[in-house]
Amino acid sequence: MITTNYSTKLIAVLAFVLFSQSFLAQRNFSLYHLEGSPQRHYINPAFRAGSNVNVSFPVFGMHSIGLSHSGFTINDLFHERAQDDSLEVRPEEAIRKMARLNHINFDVKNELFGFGFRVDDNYFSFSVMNRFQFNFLYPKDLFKFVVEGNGRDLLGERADFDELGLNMNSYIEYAVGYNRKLFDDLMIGARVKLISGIANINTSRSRIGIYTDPETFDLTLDGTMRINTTNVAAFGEDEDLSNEFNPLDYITGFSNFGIGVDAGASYEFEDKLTLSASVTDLGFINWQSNNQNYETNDISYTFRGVEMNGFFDGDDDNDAFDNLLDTLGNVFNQYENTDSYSTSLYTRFFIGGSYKLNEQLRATAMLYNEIVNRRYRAGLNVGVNAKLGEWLSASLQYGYFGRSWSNVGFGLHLRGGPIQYFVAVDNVLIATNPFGQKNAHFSTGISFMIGKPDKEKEAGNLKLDDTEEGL
Amino acid sequence: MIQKNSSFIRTLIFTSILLSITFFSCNKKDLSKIASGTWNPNFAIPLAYGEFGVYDILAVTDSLDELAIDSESGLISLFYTGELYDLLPNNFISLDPVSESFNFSLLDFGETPSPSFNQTANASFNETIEFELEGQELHEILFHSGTLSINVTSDFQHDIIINLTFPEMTQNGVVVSETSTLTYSGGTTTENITIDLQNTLSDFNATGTPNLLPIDISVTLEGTGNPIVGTETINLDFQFTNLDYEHFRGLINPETINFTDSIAIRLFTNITDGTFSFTNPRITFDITNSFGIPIQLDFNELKTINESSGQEYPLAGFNDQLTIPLPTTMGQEASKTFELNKDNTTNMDQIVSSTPNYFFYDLDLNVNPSGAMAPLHFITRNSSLKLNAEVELPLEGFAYGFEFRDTLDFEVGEDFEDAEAINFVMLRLIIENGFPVDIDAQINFMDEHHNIVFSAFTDIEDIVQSGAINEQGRVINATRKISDITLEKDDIELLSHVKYFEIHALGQTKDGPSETTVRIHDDYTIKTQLSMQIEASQSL
Repeated sequence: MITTNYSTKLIAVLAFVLFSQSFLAQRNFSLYHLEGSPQRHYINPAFRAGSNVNVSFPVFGMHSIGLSHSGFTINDLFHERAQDDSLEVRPEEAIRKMARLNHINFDVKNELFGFGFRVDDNYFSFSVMNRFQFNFLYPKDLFKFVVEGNGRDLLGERADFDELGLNMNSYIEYAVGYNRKLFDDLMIGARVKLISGIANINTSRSRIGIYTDPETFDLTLDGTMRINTTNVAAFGEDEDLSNEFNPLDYITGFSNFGIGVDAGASYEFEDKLTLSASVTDLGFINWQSNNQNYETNDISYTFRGVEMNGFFDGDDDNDAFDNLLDTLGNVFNQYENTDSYSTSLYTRFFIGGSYKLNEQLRATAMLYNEIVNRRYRAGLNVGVNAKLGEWLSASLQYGYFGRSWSNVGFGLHLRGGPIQYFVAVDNVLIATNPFGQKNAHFSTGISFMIGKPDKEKEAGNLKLDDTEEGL
Repeated sequence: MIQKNSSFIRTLIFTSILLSITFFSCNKKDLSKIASGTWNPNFAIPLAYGEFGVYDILAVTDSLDELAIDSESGLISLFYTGELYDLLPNNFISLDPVSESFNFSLLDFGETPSPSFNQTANASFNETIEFELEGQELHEILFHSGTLSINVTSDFQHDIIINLTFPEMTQNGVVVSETSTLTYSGGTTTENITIDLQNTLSDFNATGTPNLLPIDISVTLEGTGNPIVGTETINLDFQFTNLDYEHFRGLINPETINFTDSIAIRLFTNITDGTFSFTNPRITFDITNSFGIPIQLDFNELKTINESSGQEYPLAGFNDQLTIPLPTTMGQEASKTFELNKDNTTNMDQIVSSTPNYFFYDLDLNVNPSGAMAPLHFITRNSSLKLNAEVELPLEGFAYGFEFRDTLDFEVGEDFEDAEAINFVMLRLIIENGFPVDIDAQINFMDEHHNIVFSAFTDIEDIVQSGAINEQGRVINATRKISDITLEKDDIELLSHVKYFEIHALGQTKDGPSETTVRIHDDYTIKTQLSMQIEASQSL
């Protein structure tokens, strides 16, 4: 029997807190299967902490940061030359790796405060979370147009810049959660969130294209765009707006009010197989303070060059170009308004399963789905999860996400006495081969867990505690 | 149990070591070693476009005011007009000042010297004043303006009463007459009489001899008791000045007035060679005459001139005399139009085939050629003889072999140094031609000595293809032609030496060498578009 005293566990927890700072992480794939971590409740409300009470305090709570780029990697852009070890820039190679539409996503989640407690078969939770999400969509043809020009592959084709857009969400969510064990095998849960929006950029309509006629080289521009913003003008040059804006006013002000719902379930088949599913951030925010919305008319304009007739009528160069500018001014019209608008939250779906290999090990699998700005993306991973008594569990994942198969995740949960620490890294390869990766996600946090685990399990026993984890 | 725990811990430790090794042996590119890279874009852009009709094309050659359109058919004709001659009244008659003097002595009164004369003596005289008009025969004048000054001087020591009557001069129907009294007050007595001749009608042929104006002079000598010596005289001095006529009647002597000039034909500006044939060219003479004088127009020579080659083509086989129409009533105009065409000449269609720059004319106006004495000629102050000519070229016919050459300055811009990054430039000229004209062209880029550095095309290229025509020679469908001018890297590098570019074009109408007739209508257009494709290679 291995015995680990209280001090050792605490030291181990602190050591990993320091060590894990060099990791970057992902979309909580590793966290989903990281047993024992109360933060899993945020991914699937049917999950609950392995204690009677858990508390997360400001600064020490969960912090999650993720960055992904579905387009190209640094290695796709820079290549070593054969004659020496210098690097050569090959933008065309990067373009070749792009999809029609590519994403740059950045999201941050900070648990400002949270707690949960159990009463019989019921589990109640409350949390305050800061959320920041950034999303930039760019079409492949945009790079192609700039790098290769419109005289090769794009000649006779429409350069498709549709859905080019920038989106940003910043808000505070106040969530109340509940889950309950129904029967012996089924756990269900839900969280209701009240949301106070801070700032937003939403590209609600983006359709832009340039067609190059293969014979005449006429350029036909078509499209329309609409961008809604809230509290973004404050970061512009208007000093009055800048001075007026105070993010703290929006933390509890609810002037940009939103509602969100998380829901989840977990079902265990004959003590071996567990299936779980959840949906998070199903909801919307209504933005109505300091709005500044920009919209263009439907554009369809063909540029055929400068009209020569004017020169023969005695016009000089300036007249011809002035006429062209006047025409462009009439074609491109921008409208502004301050109307309110609504945006959907970035909804995510998790479908997971785990199979008990032995008392310590479980095989896991998960299908991840997200809907961001009406765009659907999915990820898939498989892995193993190991648990050593109450104080340690680890998970190792491998999967596909963001047009990349090189996603190796690692998660670790340590519990020493009342202190619980976790770290989840969805792509450890970012540390070894950062220029070859497209995804990086990192979550970590400390919470305080009070209350003994199920007394049926002996100390240091590696037997999994099914009833606590709700798996 | 212990074995299982140990196995798990070993697995966990091994995994941690493996992760640590891979972490510290990372494969990272050193971005500070970026050495090279190229940006190799290829851009295709439109540069300019235009749609030109007949009006736009002719405006370039400043020929817009020479264009006319048949309202029914839309067929275009070019007109080149010139005012050949404008005959004015001063060409025939100008009234110079006229002066005449008459002297009367004691004998004219029938009296003898007397130491004291207290009676009254009368004398009457009928005189005439002659108006010399350079041999022209003057019968009647209505003066528009003029002044008759009569200066009377007397050295009789007695009062003189002078009565002047011009029986053939009337103003508003009233005979012109003036009476003046010279009162003796010692020494010579002088009196000045002024008569305004405006609106005065004068008959200069009342005596039966033209150019003579009769005057009746009556002089009365009223004695003052002073002596009459016998040598005294009375002098009348007549001055006609500032004379201008409202109308003239008389006879103009025969004379010949010659004039020569030319009319510019701008259609063939910059066209150095070629064969043109117009189906129905015309030269129209338009005459308007308000002189009541018989005049005959003699065509000494009509010809076209090609300034470049010096070739001249005289018009032949036409009636070279034309009688100018004559008004019957003073103040009226008589007009006549006379046309020379292919039917009344032998070579009208040929004289414009040489791409002439000018139509030259040498004409004589023969005034009163027969010397007839009747009816009397008349001239008013507003009389004129206007002779205009119009060369009309209906744009119907055929042409071939016409060449156009022009050399323009060329200078590359200040940013030409960046041209090293350019791999090639392709200029695309798209012409959708609705005219029945084919044009082949070559563009030569030349250095400062006009040596050809390189050319746009391998050989002269057909860049404009004629539209399809029907049996009447009218275009029914436009034809589209795409011509590409490609400048490779070598050519671009040579541009710094280029100072001029020459455009050399050869043109013909549709099937011109076969003498197929085509027609130019006002609804024809030619659409042009110029685009560019450029590929560059820029180091990063």
